[in-house]
Amino acid sequence: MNKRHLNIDFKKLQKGQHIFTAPQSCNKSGSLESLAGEDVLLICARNSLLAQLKDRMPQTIQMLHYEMNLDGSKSYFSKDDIANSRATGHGCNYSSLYKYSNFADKERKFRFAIVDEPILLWAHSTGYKPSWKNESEYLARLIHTPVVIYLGADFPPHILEEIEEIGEMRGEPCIYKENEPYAPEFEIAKDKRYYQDLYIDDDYSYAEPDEDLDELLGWR
Amino acid sequence: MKRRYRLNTHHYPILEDTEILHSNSKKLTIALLKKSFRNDEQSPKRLFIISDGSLETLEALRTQLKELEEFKNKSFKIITSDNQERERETINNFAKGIIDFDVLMSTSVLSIGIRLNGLFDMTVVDTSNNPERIWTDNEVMQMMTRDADCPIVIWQQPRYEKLPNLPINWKIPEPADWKNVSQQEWENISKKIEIIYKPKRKLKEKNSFTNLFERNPITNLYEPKQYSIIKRTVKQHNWSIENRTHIIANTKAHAERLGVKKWYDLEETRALLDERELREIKLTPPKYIQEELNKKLLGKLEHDADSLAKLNEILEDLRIDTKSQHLTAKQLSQWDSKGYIDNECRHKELHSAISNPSELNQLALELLQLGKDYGKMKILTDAQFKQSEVFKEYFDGDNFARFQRLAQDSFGLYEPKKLQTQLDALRWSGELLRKFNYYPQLKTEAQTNPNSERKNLYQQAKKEHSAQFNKWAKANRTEGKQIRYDDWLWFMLNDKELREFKFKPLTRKYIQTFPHLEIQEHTRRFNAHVV
Repeated sequence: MNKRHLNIDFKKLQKGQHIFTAPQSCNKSGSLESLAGEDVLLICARNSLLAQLKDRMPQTIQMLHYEMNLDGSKSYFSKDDIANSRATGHGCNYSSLYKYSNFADKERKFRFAIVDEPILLWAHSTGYKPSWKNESEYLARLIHTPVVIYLGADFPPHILEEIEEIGEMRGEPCIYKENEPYAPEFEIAKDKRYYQDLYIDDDYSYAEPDEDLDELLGWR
Repeated sequence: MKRRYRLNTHHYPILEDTEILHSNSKKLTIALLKKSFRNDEQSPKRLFIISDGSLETLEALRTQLKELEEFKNKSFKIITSDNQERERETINNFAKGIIDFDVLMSTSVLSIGIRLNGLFDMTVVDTSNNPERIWTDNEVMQMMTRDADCPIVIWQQPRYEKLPNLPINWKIPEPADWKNVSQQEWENISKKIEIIYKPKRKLKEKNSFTNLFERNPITNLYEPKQYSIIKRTVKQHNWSIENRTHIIANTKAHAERLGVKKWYDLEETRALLDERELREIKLTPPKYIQEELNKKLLGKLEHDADSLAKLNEILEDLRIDTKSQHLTAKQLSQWDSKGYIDNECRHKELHSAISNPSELNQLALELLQLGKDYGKMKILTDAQFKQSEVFKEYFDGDNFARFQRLAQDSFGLYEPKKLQTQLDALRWSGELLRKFNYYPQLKTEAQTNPNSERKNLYQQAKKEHSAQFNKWAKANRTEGKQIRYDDWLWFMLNDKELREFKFKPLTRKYIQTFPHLEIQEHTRRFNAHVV
C-alpha cells in the first residue's frame, strides 16, 4: 500500500515540465516547502488558495500579488512593486499575471513556475474575463521558465494535450540566465539522464514511475 | 510518440474510510442530518457544509437547522468570499486541527486547497443551487475531500435527465485541424463563443464581448486574436459539457477510483430513512424569500443572480421545474398561491365534462369560451365582455351579488365585492378563473394604449376585413347610429358560431389596445409534496 503523504523534493527536478497527479490531501502542495528560498512563481486561479499556501509555506511563497490591510481590505501591488521586491518566492492569481510583464531589465525571472490545480486554472482562464495580457504572460512563463511543475488531482486529456503543445514550444533557447545554458532539443537528447526525465513514452505516462527518479523525488 | 513532460502519478485510496450518500433534495439531506445527529450529547458531532449557494442560502439553511432539536445548541460559523480574509486565522487553525464551533458552513470558497482533515463527523456537499452551473466531477470531488478523513459525505445534487437547454450547455464545433483552421471555421467558433459567454459576462463588464476575434485591416479577414485561449475555451467548454451531462455517474466512478468505502445511490439513501422521518421535516420558505418574491414581482431583482438562485433553491425543494433561471411573474404567482392544490382540483373538474356543472363552473367555462385565443393565452376585452350574453346573465343588476356570495362561500373569493369601477367585472372574472388554476392579468387602458395607438390603428385594421364589415354594417344599419368597426369585432367575438373567425394581424393588434384580461394556464405542481 502506498504511503498517503508525499514528500517531494522539487528542488531536484531538472529542466522541463513535470506533472504531479495525486489525490487530494496527499501533500502535493505541501511539498513546495522544499523550494524554500528558491526563485519560484506560483500561479493559481484562486486568491484563497494562494493565501493558504503562503500561510503554510512563508519561506517558499514570500509575497503575493496583493497584501492585506489591517481593516481586511486588499492592496494590490503594481508592476514596479513586483519588479523591485526582494522576495524570491512569488504567488500570483492568473488574472493578475500581467503584472509580471515588464521591460527586460526589470523582469522578474524564476527558475520554477508552479501551476497549482490546473483544472481550476483552465476553467478560470476560459470562463472568466479571458485576457490576452494575462494569457501571454502565462504562456511565456510556461514556455521559458526552466522548471515547470503542475500539481493537481486530475488532468483531463485536453489539459495534457495543451501541456504537450507547450512542451513543443519549449524547444527554443531559454532567456533564463544560469550557469548552464538551456540546450536545444537535439543537444538535450544526447544526455541520456536528461532525456529520460524530459521525454516519456505514451505507454509510460500512467505506468509505474521510474524507480531511480522516484527515490530521488521522495516518491514511495 | 514521445511526451515532452514527465507525468508522475501517485495512487492512494483517499476515500477508503468514507461513505458517500447521494441526496436529491434539502428535505432528504436534513432528514439524514437529523437522524445522524440525534442523541449526540455524550459525544457531540461536528458538521461541515459546503454549498454552491450564496451567503443568504447558507443563512437560510442555518435558520432551518437551528429550528431542529438536534442543532439548536450547536454553534455555527459561516465563511464566504466576503469574510474569508478576516477569518484567515480561523482557516489556518483548521490545518492544525484547531476548531471551536460545531458546524462550519462555507460557500465554494473553501472548495480547494484548504485542509480540514479529521475535523468533522459529517460533510454535506450541496451543489444543487444553480441548475445552470452544474459542476464537473473533479470539482465535486474537491469539495467532497476537503476533509479527506470524514467518514460520511452527503452529496445533494438533483438528478437531471439532461443539461438545461442553455447556451452554456451548447457544444462548440471543433475544427478538423487546429493547425489549419479555415476562415469559415473561425467565424463559426467566434459566433458560438459570443453567444455562450456574452450573457455570462454581461452583468460584470460593460464590454461584454470576449474580444477574442477582430478584423484584420490589412487582410480584411476576421481573425483570432488570442489563439491559445480560444482553443482552450473550446476544448474546456466541450469537455465540461461531456463531463456534466453524466455528473452523477462520473462522480460515482471518480469516488470508486479513490476507493470509496460505500456509495449510496439515491434509492439506497432514501432506504436509510422511513417515511415518517421524511414527513417530520417541514420546510417553510423563510421570511426573506417571501419578501424577495414581492421585490421580484416588482421587477427589482430582475438581474440579481443570487436572489434568483435562492428562489430556485426553494423551488427546487418544492419540486417545481427550475430549468429556467429567470422566473416569470406567472411562475412566481403560481408558487405564491396558497390554495394551488384546490385550484388544480377545480381545474380538473372544470374540464372533466361532468354532466351537471355548478353555476360557478358554468360561468368559468363561458368566460374561457368568450376569450379570443392568442396562442399561449386568451384575451377577453372589456368592451366585448360588456356586450356579451354572459355579462347580461351573470353581472347585470342583482345577479352579480348572488354569484359574488356564491364564489365567496365556495372558493373564498372576496374581492372585488361590488362592481364600482369600469373594470371590476373583468377583474372579478379573472380572480374567479384564478381559482381554476388560471393565471389572469388585467391590462388597463394605460397599459394597452399608452400612446393612443388605437386611433392610428383603427383605419388600418378596418381595411383588413372591410368586405365582411361593410356587409355586416349594411345588414345591421340603425337610424341615427353610426356603426363602427369595433361593433363588428365584438359581435364576431361574442357570437358562438363566429368566434373562431381568424382576424388578420393588425386587427388582432387593434383588439389588444382595448383594456382586457389576459388568461393563461398554469402547469400542475402537485409534486410539491413528494420527495
